[in-house]
Amino acid sequence: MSTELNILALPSEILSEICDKLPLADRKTLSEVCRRFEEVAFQPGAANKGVLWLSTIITKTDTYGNTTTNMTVMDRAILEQSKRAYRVIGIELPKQLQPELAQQLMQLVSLLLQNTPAIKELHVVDSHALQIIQLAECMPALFDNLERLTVFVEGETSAVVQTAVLRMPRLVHLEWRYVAVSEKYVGLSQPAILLHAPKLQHAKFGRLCNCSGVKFRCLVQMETVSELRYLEIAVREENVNMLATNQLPNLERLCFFMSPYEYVRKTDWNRIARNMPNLKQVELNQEDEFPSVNRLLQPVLEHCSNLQVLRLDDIDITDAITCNNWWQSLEYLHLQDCLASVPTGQRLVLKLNNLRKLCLTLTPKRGGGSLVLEAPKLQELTFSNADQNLDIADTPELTTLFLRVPQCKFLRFLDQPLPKLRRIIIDTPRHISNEELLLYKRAIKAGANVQRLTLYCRSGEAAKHIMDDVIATMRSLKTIAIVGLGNTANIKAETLSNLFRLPQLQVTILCGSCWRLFAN
Amino acid sequence: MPTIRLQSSDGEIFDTDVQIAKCSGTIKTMLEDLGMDEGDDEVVPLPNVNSAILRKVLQWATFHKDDPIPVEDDDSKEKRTDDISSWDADFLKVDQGTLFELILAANYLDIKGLLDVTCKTVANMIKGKTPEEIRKTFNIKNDFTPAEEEQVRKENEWCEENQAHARFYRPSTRNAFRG
Repeated sequence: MSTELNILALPSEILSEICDKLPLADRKTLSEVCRRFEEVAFQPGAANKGVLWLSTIITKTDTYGNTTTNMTVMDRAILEQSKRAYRVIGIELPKQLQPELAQQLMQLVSLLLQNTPAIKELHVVDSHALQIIQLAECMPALFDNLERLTVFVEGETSAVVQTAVLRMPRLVHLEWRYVAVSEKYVGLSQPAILLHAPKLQHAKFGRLCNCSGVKFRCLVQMETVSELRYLEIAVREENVNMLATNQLPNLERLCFFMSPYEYVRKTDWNRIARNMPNLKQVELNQEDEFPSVNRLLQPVLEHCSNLQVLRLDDIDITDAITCNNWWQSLEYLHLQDCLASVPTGQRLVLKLNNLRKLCLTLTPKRGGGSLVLEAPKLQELTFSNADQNLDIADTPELTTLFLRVPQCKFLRFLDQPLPKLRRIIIDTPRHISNEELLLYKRAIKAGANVQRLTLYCRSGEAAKHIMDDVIATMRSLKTIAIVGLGNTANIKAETLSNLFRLPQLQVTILCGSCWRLFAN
Repeated sequence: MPTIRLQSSDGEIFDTDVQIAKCSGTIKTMLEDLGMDEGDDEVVPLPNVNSAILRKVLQWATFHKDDPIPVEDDDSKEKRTDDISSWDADFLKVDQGTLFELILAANYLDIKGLLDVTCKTVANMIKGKTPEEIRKTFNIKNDFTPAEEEQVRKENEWCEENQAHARFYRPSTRNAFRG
């Protein structure tokens, strides 16, 4: 070919597609390359999200430890000359929005809306003075058309807010994140904001931080919930009542943070589960100190027949696992810090016939009996720090295995060859016992067809023992990544040179002291 | 196995397995909607793809014919570009002109997987570079006036990613690793 095709010859939709795959920092750089790229780098696209911040708050601390905060508003001239189409704007609000600052922001927003009336997404950084209410009053044109809103609430304030109504008739996606909540909010029975958003589909009310054990005021209460498809919510009295008294026919994903309060016990959880017939994914988090029974778990398992994904955190599942029928629709199960007791001398088998993906992290178990998980269709297994009386039966379909500090003695599935296993990620502990080492060796032996291996070496010991097995067994290995914390140097030079001689192999070594490795 | 005859822009005919040809949304539509029967010895003309590129495209489609249909992730999280398989990475070790022609062909033939992996490859060529390095890599002339360049830089200063998110990030209190 005489003249090679130049990248600028590609049509704009393809250049946008490429930009969509770049993080904002690279898109910014790209926009400085030439005019054509400047046009495409910030074109609205699916993942093309760069927030244009109209204001920022800068906090400075002087040598005496006094802090001053200053709000800086974007220079109007920059915006006037801009030809870019911004899709998302951000506003950082002070604790008190002064009229002149509000005026400046209003001017910027109306200028933007002239150029791009399609601004449908807003990010607001707010304090507990909830100045977003004032902002919404100043800018009805913006709030009336908003489809996505993300609010970050930070800091403490003495301002007490009466219940205010926030109207966003087109809002589809709402995310509300708080960090610390002012004490002034404790005990107030009215919500701070009544949200009128009839089209809302995705509502995420982040979990409150730093406030376990105290009952907090509800910040946002939704007027309507019928269109909701995704809901993430911390359970408070108002929310529980809302779920018990409303149908949520479209709800597909629910993420619930449950607290141990009185009202939780009084609620009709079966009714709540029946109100959500189309639930596909459920995440339940118990906010107690120790794993405890979650009152929504059994109703959800019993009534939501389309349930595919279940993620449980800090929950006692002892009762739930006695009923095999409930677990049959699940495709993905994630258990973190959960408790399952089986009395001494007993052996409980839990059948998970449709499970494709299983993630077990820190699953301590009381009682001396053993629990066997049977998941014949399992493709992906993450196994981390589980109890030694837990066993997993044959998994002939397994393709990916993540193994980390397995304290289990059995793990029967490792005794059968795993012909479809292509990827193993092994994470070794700092102090490895002979028993544990044997388990890792069994995993390697089962993985004769593995193509990708990632090895995290927290100590040189494990790497030293495992690498020889790897070379002897994994003949089809194509890539290997060794992530060592300066410990990989303990691998014998001879082992490494054998490793590098494997045909087709790509080796990545990430460790603090590579030079030692090669010096050997 | 049923085959289909594809004709490149320069006239070369490729007898192709129907299953492989159907990787292309465009060809699939021709076969299914326009009533071109598999048994017919008819030739499907592809006027936008030359034989060198079509050969590569078919090579890619043959290797990927059994791939599962990718699941659409509804989260608008940042897409990864470091997950190119080693076969694809090898396959795409070509000069820039060929890479861009593959992109055009994948776009015209509507082969999502190929378009995705070729665009990722180009994105990886851009990542982490300075504007000047990008110009050098792709042989691009800087057509900004100094004033325009300054304006772009000023706008970029206000366009921050995760400015607020960064402050709100709190690492998990739970240490998952108890090794």
